[in-house]
Amino acid sequence: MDREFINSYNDYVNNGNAWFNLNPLSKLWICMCIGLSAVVVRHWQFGFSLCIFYCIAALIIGIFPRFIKNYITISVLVILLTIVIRQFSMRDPNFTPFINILGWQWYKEPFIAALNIISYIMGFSGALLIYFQTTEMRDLMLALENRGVTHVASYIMLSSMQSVIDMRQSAQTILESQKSRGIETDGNIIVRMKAFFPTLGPILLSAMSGTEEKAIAMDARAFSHNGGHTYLRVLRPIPVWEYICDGLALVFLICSIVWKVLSMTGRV
Amino acid sequence: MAKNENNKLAWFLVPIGVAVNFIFGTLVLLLRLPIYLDSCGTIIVGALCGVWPGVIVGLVSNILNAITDPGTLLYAPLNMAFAVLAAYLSKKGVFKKFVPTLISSLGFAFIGGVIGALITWARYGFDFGSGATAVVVLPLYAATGLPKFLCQIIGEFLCDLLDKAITVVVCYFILKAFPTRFLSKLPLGHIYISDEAKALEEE
Repeated sequence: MDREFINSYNDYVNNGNAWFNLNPLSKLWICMCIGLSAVVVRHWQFGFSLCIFYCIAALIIGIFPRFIKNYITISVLVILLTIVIRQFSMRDPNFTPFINILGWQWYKEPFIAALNIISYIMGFSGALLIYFQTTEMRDLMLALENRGVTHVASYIMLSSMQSVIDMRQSAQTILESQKSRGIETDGNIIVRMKAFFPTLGPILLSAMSGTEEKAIAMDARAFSHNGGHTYLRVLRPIPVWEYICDGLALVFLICSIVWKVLSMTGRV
Repeated sequence: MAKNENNKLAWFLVPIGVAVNFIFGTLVLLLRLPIYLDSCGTIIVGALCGVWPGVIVGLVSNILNAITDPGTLLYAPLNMAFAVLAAYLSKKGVFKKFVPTLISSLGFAFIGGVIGALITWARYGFDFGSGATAVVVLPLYAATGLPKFLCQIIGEFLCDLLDKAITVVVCYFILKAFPTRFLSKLPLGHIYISDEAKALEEE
C-alpha cells in the first residue's frame, strides 16, 4: 500500500485510457482543429455529423452521461431560440413556405440558416466540452509550464478554481446564517435585494483577509524564487504517434478550409 | 512597502477576483434576482490592482466558464475591456464618489453593448443573437425598422445598463469597505485611502 502510494508519484500521470493520457496540449490541438473545422464549413450536415461523432467519441472514451447532459443543457436554448428568431428576423417575399404551426408560417431559408448557425456553434462547443471533460486543469497547466509558461499562471488558474469552490461553500454558509438570524431571502424583489447586500460583505472580507496570509505562506515555500521548480506530477514524453495525430487533425482542418473555399467559388 | 511586493499581492488577489465573479453570479441566481453581477471581481481587481491583474481576472473567469459552456470563451474580450476601463477610471478617482461611479456605468454598458453586440453579431452569422437580449432586440426591430445591427447594439446596451449600474454601486461600497492597512499594499489602493487615514499616518 505504502509502496503503491510512493510509486504513484514516481510514475508518469496515468488517467485511465489512451485519450485521457494524451498530452493536454496535443489534445487541445486536436479538439481545436476539429472544432474550428465546424466554424469554417458552417454547414448543418457537416456540423451535425460532428455532433454525432462527438457522442460516439464520448461513449468510447467513457464520459457519455456527463457529456450528453452538459451538451444538451448548453444546446437546447441555442437551438430553440435561433430557429424561432431567424423566422422573425429574416424576411423575404421570395422565401419558400416550409411548415405551418398553428397559423404561423415557417419558411425554409431562415430554417436552414438557423441550422447552419446552430451546427457550427454545437460543432465548436462539443469539441471543447470533450476536451475540458477529459483534461485535468493541473495537467494542462503543467504541460504549459513545461513549454515555458510561468508558474504564476499555473497558480492563478488552479487557485482560481479552488477559490470558486471555497467561496461557494462560504456563500452558502453565510446565506444560511443570515436566514437563521431572521433575514428574509424569499419574497418580492426588494426583500431579496435586501438579503443580497448583507451577504456580500462577509464573503469578500473573509476572502481578502486570507489573501495576505496566503501570499506570506507561498513566499515561505519559495513561490517567488526564479530557479527550477519540482513537481509531484510528471507528464509522459510525447510519443511519435501523438505528433502524427496532431498532423492529421491539422490536415482535417486544412481540408475543411479548402472545401469551404471551393464551395464559395462554386467548384463543389 | 516595495513596488514589487505590492504587485505580488495584486497577483494573489486575482483568484479572489475570479471567485467573486462566480459567487456573485451564483448568489443572484440563488436569490432569483434579474441581474448578472458577473463582472464585479474584474472591476474591483482592475480598480485596486491596475490593468493587467484585472485583465487576467476577466480572461480566467471566461476560461473557467468555458468548461461548462465553451461559447462564453468568445466573450472574454468584454470582461478584459471592463478591467481596462475600471483601472483607467480608478486612476482618475471616479470610484471615490457615488455619482461619478453611477455615471461610469454608462461606459461599462457601452462596452457591454458595443463589443458584446459585435461578438454576438459575428457568432450568429451577422444576424440577431439568441441570448436574453432577444426579448428587447426583436420588438425593437419590429417596432422601429432600424437596421438589425443597430437594434442589436441598442438592445444589448439597454439590457446591460441596469446590470452595470448595480455592479458599479456594489463595487463602490466594497471599495469603501476595504481596510486602509490592506489598501496601502495594493498598487492603486492609495487612491481609496481616506484623507483622515493619510493624516493619521503622517502624524
